[in-house]
Amino acid sequence: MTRVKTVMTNENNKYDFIFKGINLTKSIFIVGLVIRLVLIVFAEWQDANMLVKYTDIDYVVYTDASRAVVNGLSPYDRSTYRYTPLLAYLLVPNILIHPAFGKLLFVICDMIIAYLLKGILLERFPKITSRTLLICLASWLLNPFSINVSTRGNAESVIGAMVLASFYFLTKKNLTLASIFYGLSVHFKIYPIIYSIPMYLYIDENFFSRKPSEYTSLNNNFKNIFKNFFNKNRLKFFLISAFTFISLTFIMYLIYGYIFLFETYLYHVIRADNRHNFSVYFYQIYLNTPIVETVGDLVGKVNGSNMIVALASFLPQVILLLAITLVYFNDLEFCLLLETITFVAFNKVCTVQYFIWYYSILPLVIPSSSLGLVQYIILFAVWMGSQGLWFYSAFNLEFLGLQTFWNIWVAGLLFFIANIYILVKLILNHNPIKVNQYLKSK
Amino acid sequence: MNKLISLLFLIIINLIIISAIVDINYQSYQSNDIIIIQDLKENEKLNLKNHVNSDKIDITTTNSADNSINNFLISHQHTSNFKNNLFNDDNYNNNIESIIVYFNNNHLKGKFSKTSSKYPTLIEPIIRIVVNFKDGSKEIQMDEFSTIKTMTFNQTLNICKILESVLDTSIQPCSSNESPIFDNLLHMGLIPNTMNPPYLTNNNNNNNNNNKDSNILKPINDISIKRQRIIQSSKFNKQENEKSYLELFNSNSYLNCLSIFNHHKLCNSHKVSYSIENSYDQLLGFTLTINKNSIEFNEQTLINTNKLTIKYNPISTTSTTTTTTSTTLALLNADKSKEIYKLENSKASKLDEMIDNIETTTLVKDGDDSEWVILKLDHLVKKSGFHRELVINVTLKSPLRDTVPGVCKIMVLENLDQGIFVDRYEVDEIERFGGPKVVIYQLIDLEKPSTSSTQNFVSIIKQFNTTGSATQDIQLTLPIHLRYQNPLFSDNGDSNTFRQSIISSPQIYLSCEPTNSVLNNNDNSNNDNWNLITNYNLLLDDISKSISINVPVGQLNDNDSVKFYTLLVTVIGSILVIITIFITHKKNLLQKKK
Repeated sequence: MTRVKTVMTNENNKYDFIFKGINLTKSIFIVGLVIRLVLIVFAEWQDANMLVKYTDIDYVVYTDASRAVVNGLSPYDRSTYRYTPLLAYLLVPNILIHPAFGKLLFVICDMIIAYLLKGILLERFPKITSRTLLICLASWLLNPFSINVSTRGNAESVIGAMVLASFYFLTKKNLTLASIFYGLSVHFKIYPIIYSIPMYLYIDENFFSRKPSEYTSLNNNFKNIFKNFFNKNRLKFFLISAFTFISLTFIMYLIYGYIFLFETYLYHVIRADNRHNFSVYFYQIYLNTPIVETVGDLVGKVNGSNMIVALASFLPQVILLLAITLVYFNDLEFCLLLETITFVAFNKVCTVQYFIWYYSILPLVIPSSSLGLVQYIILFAVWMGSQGLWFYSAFNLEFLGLQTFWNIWVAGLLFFIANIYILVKLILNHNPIKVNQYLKSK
Repeated sequence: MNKLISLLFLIIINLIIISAIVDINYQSYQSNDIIIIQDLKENEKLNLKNHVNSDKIDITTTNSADNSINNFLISHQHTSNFKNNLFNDDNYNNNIESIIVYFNNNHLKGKFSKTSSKYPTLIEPIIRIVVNFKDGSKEIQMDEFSTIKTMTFNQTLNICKILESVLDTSIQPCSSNESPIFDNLLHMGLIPNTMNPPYLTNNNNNNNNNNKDSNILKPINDISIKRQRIIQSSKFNKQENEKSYLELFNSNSYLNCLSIFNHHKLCNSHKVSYSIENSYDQLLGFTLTINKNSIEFNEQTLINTNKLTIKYNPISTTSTTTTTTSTTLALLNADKSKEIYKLENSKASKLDEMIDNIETTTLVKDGDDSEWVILKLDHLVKKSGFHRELVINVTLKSPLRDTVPGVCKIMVLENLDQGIFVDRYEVDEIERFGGPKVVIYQLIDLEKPSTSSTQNFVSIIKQFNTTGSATQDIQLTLPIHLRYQNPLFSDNGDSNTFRQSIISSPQIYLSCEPTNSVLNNNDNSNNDNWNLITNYNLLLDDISKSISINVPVGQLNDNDSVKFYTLLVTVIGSILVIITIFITHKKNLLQKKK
């Protein structure tokens, strides 16, 4: 064990990128941390002195919920608190120590994510160059989106850290911890549930003997998937993660009752928000909100075709998620990224905070992709550009009171097309062969 | 399959509707009327004259010889008692205690220049429906965590049916047509009992003078306070013409047959026995209270004439059940002396004993120097889009007396319709930054569309110094947010589809209690004694009426193309990615083999 550890340390040092005597790989952690800490301090100043806040409204909601907990009340006394009570518990120091404690916690989670990313990358791509590793880490640590989200006080990095911890322990072959972190992440926010099938398939009967770097989508055997559908490792993963999720959820249910289940999970599942958002389905959902103003509306029309439309807008997402899972589950990091993009692009409700989900997984895909810097910039520009059009139309509606629903819908369609384009580009440039070549060289 | 489901659905809906129809039997076994005539001129006395061989009684004043016009304030109180349950006891309406329809027409453009306890002077006429429920009913329940919900459709339908049968007008949701008077009852909000609905004043002139609980201001999070359902409307005022309120409803409606100012040509047995022949100059208002076994009705009018004539209208003998009726007439002189008469057929006989339940209307003269006067009131909405700012500019003139304390508080009570809300977390934050205190009386959902939301009352409170100047300019701002509303069909294909949200004109209260603790302790606001200001000294053109805000809504004309292209793009997008995956995967596998 000790021997392995020393080897690991040596290997870790080997991956450090030294430029003119400066260890950039280490520096980037420090730079990322310092930027975030400075912004937390700046946020404190702006919030205290200006009515326009730097801090996100969600952070205020978390803090209010924590205050309720400190006062012996339910965090759900704060309306729009739609998270597990664990988050309110985590942020209790916001009330007892300092209101910025939570942001510090989120920034620490950012750092943990970077650490986990590095660990996964080294296990998955042992031949990774120190330069590529630096780029991968920089794409998270210096990502303006991730910096912004954590310092404004959004808890997404906590969930991101849990998902990555689960992945990290899969690569470290610690199935128990991986399962516990996965169950925890689903308890925290329901969306990682989409990762359940690829993770389940990834854990095959050779899970403990095969190195993370030996997994490749090119070795998929579709017959094997179903033949050994229930093996010991998979059942262990299923039982531990389900136990973690169910026991946490049950305890919270015992304490807070139905309101906890509704706000944390059911709300997100049944949510058909008819207010404008990035979702391609937004206008369709809004226009088809059942109007019940009078008795006449009840008798009037019972629309069966709405069921068909609902099904038709549900199927493309499910089929696509299944196709991605079955082809790429052995390129787990690529599979998770595609699933996340697909899930967000096809979701009934889509807001900016969902975009954060991509960024913690993206660095893992860079080494196996033949996309160059210019192409990443183009993809990013397409993605941002289609959002820009949406923002312009939404601003006209929300702040100028113009009737721009049609424009918002068209912008939503374009944003969806941009997402499809990104998916196609990522798939076309994905090189599972690199993994394969590595296998051969062994 | 779909047809079968929809058929079943239709049957269920019909069953619900049939069971919800309320059929009220309005045959009372006992009714009681009190007519109070109050002379508004000083140094005069009212005279009553029985006509021989006639069904009329005249009321004149001592000075009537000179034919001068007198101002009569006529109040009518009616009570009918029933043996049957007016709420038709079944599952969902047996927790209703009473339904009140309140109309206050004593507004600034009217001819009446005074304010009465039941009908204080308002900027514009207002109609309110208030429903009282038994303690613990789920209709008025407000949990600590959940936001206020609309009443169930069935319960709303029930109340709606009862109102329709009394008022003989169509009301949503039991009728499809939008009512020219009432808002859809589905949007009834909650209001604390302590605000004294439907009047929303302290009613200090009444017996509950020392009732400390009768306090307009109560914080939102005190869920122990009993609440009532309320909906307010002032939209009928848009018509601008000063018509009689009787024309708001059909003249043979139950309500109008209770009025002594109606002519009862179309009324059947359930009408009052006496009517006033003179037509009134202004209706100040009416209050109709439907209880389980009784109906109470109160109306008040102003008549400028030199002779009032009361006419006896015998009830047609065709009615099968016997109804005991009694009518009392009270004459109130300006010097506060009273004369009580009992009316039987066409004769008035004087009674010596005093009747307790005669409510004297205390009048406050407008423009009185000893009271606060509103000199200017601007009520406007700034900014555009879904996030706006309600700005209220008030100029007050302090009373000419020495007792005004140095610090007073002003409270502006706003009624926002179901399409508008105030974010309590936002206003709390603004208060921390030195903004006004905002009191919200019910928990508001920040995300619901207007369809499933309720009207709400919000008040804004600001402290000001009275020293220095006789007039005070006070500005209050309240950030408001608009909710999404239902989409709309536009007939002319115009893409600019909008719906309206309405903010009624506000009611303004003052609290000038000579408390020393005003500055020390903000939490004592519960003890403030808020008095409605009813003295206005405005130019009529300056009157700020209700504000209507245009809210952009989706256009249903686009529905089919939106459905089609959304589906097309998502299906093609999904297929495209799947094809890419399989082609790339195949290609990669081939390369591997090589």
